[in-house]
This record gives sequence, structure tokens and C-alpha cells, in this order.
Amino acid sequence: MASPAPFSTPMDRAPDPGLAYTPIPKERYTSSAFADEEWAHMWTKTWVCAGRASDLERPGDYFTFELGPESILIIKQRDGSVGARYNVCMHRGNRLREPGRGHAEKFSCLFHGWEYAVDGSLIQAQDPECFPQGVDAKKLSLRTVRCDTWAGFVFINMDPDAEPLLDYLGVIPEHLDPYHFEDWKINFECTIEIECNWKTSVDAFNEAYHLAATHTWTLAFSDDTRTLYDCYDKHTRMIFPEVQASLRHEGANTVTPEIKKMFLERIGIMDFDGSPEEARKAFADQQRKVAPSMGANLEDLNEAQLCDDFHYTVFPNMTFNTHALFTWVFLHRPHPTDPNRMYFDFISLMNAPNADVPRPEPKFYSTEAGDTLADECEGGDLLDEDLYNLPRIQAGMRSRAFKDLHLGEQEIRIRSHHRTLELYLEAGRAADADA
Amino acid sequence: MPENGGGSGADDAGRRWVEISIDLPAEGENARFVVEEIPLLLCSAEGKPWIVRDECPHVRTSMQGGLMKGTVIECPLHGGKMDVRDGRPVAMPIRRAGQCFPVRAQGDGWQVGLPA
Repeated sequence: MASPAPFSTPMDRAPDPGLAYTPIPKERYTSSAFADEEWAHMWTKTWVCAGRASDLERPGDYFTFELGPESILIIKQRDGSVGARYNVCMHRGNRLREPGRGHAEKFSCLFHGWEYAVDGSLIQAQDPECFPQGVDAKKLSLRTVRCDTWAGFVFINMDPDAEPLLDYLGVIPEHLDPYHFEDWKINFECTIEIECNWKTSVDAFNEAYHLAATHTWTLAFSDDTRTLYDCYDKHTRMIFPEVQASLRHEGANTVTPEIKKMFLERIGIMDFDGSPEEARKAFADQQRKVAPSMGANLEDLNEAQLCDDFHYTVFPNMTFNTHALFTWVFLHRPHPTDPNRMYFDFISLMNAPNADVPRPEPKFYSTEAGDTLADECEGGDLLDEDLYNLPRIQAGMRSRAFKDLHLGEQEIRIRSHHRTLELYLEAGRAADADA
Repeated sequence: MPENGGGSGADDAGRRWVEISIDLPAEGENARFVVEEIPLLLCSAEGKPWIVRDECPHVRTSMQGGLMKGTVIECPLHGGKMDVRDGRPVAMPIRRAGQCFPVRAQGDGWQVGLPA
């Protein structure tokens, strides 16, 4: 989709949304009844990111998207567009394709051989003369799911009456289009099954308050104390300074050895001897120097974007850890039946349009099995520290001793996320009452 | 070139080497042929020829024309995936290993090793 140009990410602070500090009941994370309401009134009404459009090169290429109890086929159409259909044969309800990526000239059900075209239309049913009621191809074609793309991401929406994707995304395209994500490439992808609610996972990444305790070693090069939080309608942002030590750290307001080693030397700036401000400028300038060799377009990014993590959460479940040359996208998906489990997709993108990066096969891990990402990918050690917490947070929330979440100022994005969720649930309950 | 595919441990005493009558397909492509009533699929992957029985281990349909990514072939009917080097199932609904046959260069052409 074409984006307006020229553009730059707004740096102004969003107005205070005036959210109350009322406790958040734990049942929102642990109750099956609440999860059922979420499904009925939120998941089936919102736009949700399903994957990357770059996985669909030619007509018939497809991938499945598993969301709660649903499986959806995302398929490259013969006219070049991207379409979405429920992954369900309309004969007896069999799933047409196993989870994953592939290519199909037609989708043949392995139960009774009913065949569907790439656009979902029914091609043929076996022995149609054996159906006295007829086999109406119009009624028995695959059910359509709304589908659109932004910045190389494919989104779906199960609500046929939902607002258009770009309207739903609100400020997000204005903020993130300057990164030109449509040209970025996947260099690592995995899914982790975690024993926690999907919101437990979203929340864990929606604040920098946990840095000092969970990722103590990172305070030498990242700054929880000067993190800025913004709430925009449904979606939220936090600007999390990097190449800058926390005010809690003994190296605050200096260029720490960690900043030199992990940022400056890594990008070719050796023996740096300057102020903290000069270190950030040098790191930004050096990225601009190396960017052309990778085809990376940094022209629309400011110096802060070349140093800091511009962290966005697109409601309900998409987290961007945005940097100039790499970005980690997290998708937090609900389990089909258990509110105490979820699937965490980690998509690592690199800003290297010119690089020959083979599409990596997605990997699968489980916190229950004790899997660790430390040796699997860049940043895996950091992520491990969060993954260790998540099942324990969920277990603790289920305790008789724990009633509700007590959230502070630095956790405003979590309160905003709950407020948006509440609005969906209230609208759904009202619609149910009217029906 | 030494033989490849068809598992390991077999020796020539247990095989008959039979000429292949078709050309090696382009890299990432495959072609069906029949020898002694056995349907076979000649696959070209990673710069080498590989031969599997042209019978999907799922419901025994032909896999000819199936998309290949590296050494993995995708069955065009139901999307199951199998590694043509050893027949190992890679993605459901293929759950059993496919049958593989060794292949070797002989003169200007290729030979497939069939059971004696």
C-alpha cells in the first residue's frame, strides 16, 4: 500500500489519556469465561497481524494463521492480491491444510476430495449426483475473511463490517512508515508455547519498569528511567533509550564499557573517547554510513530512532521493538481452549533489502519443555529472561492470595490496553443485549 | 560422482543398476519416470539427483510437479512434505517415510539402483 511522503515519525508526546488506577481483576488473565468473551467481542472484531506478505511470492503460495480456535489460509491470489479464507472444508468441516507455509494450485480436502480454487471457490465435490439437495458452489465455497496489508504485514479481520485496516491502525502508519518495513527481510522466526495468558505476555513487554529486576545487566546501555510512554487511542508507544545507561546504573551519564562494546565497536567505532551525547551521534552517523551497502533506507529516521527502541504495541497483540537496522516483532496469540496458555511468535526483521537472506524455517519451542533461546538467535538471552518470568507470573496470578493487578505510572500502556479491551467487550455485550 | 540417496549400508551385491531414460531436470524441479513398473521421481536438489518412489507416503498419489524447497518436496495434493534425500516426513499429513533409491552417474547418463 502506498504511503504518503515525505514523512517522519512524530516525536510529540501524546496527551495524557487520564486513565484511572483502578485494580485490574486477575480473572481477565485466568478465567475461561472471560477468554470466551474476548473471543466473541474482541478477537473476532479486530484486525490481527497474520504474517509477512513476502512469504507469498506467486499465486497459490499460502500460509496458515492459527488464532484461538480458528485456522485461516492466507493465499496469494492470481490477480496478485492477498486473500484470506477459513481453513475449513464446507462439506464436513475438515481442516484443509496443516499449519505452515506451502503452495497449492488448488486445495483438495483429504477427507472426501472436495476441491477449491486458490480464490476459495468450490471446483468440484466428489459424486455431486449423490446430493439430492444439490451442491451449490456459491454456498459451499470457502468462507472469506477480510484481509489487507500494511508495511509488508498481512492483517486479517473476521468481522465483515469492521473499519478498513488503515483506519483501525490510526497513528501507526504515520509513526512507522518512515522505517519502510515493506522492504525488510525475516532473518529468524520462531513460535514459543508459553504457559501464560496472551495478555500476560503483551503486558511484560509494555513497560520498562521490569528492566532493573529482570534484565539488570542491560542498565549499562539502556535507560528505563528516561523512558517515555504514549497512548494513542487503541495503540501505544514507548521510546526506550539505548546507547545510554540508566540513571540507576553506576555508569549513568558516561559512555560505559558496555556501550562501547555492544554498540560502538560492533559497528566499527573503535577507541571511542567522547561524551555520552557524542557516542549516540557517532553510533547514528555510522549506521547511516553502512546502510547503503545493505540497501537500508534511513533517510526518514531521526537520531533518536537510530539509537533507541521505538517500541509500539498495535492492539491487540502485535509488539514492535523497532530499531533502524533490525526490528523484533512479537505476536501474542491466544490458545484455542486454555486461558493459561498462549503462543508467542518472534519474527526478527533486518533492514537489508539488498542482502541475500534465505527465508529461515520457523522453529518451535516450549517453556514447559524448558527450551531456551540463548543460543538460537540474536537477543535470545534477553528474551529467555522474560520467558522464564511468564509462566511464573501466570502461576502466581492463579493463587488464592492474588486478587488483582496493582499498576503504576510506568505501566500506563497496560492500563490503556485494558481500557481498549473493555471498550470492545462493552460494545459486544451491548450488541448482545440489543439482539 | 559417487552414488547418493537410497539410504546407507546397501552394497552393490544387493542392487541392480538400471539406466535412467530421462534427462536430469533443472535444479529445484522433478520428473516422473517408470522403471520395471515402479513409478519413480527424479528430483534435482542441491546440485544432485535424488530418486524417490513417485508415491506420496500419505495417500500414494503422484508427487510430480510438487514444489521443492531445498531437498524438501511438497505434495501437490494435500501439502505434505518429505525430504527426498532419505524420505523423511517433514510436514503433515505425511507421517511415514517415503521410499528412496540410490542414483549414480554412469557415462553420460544416470543409473538408479533397484533391489536385486
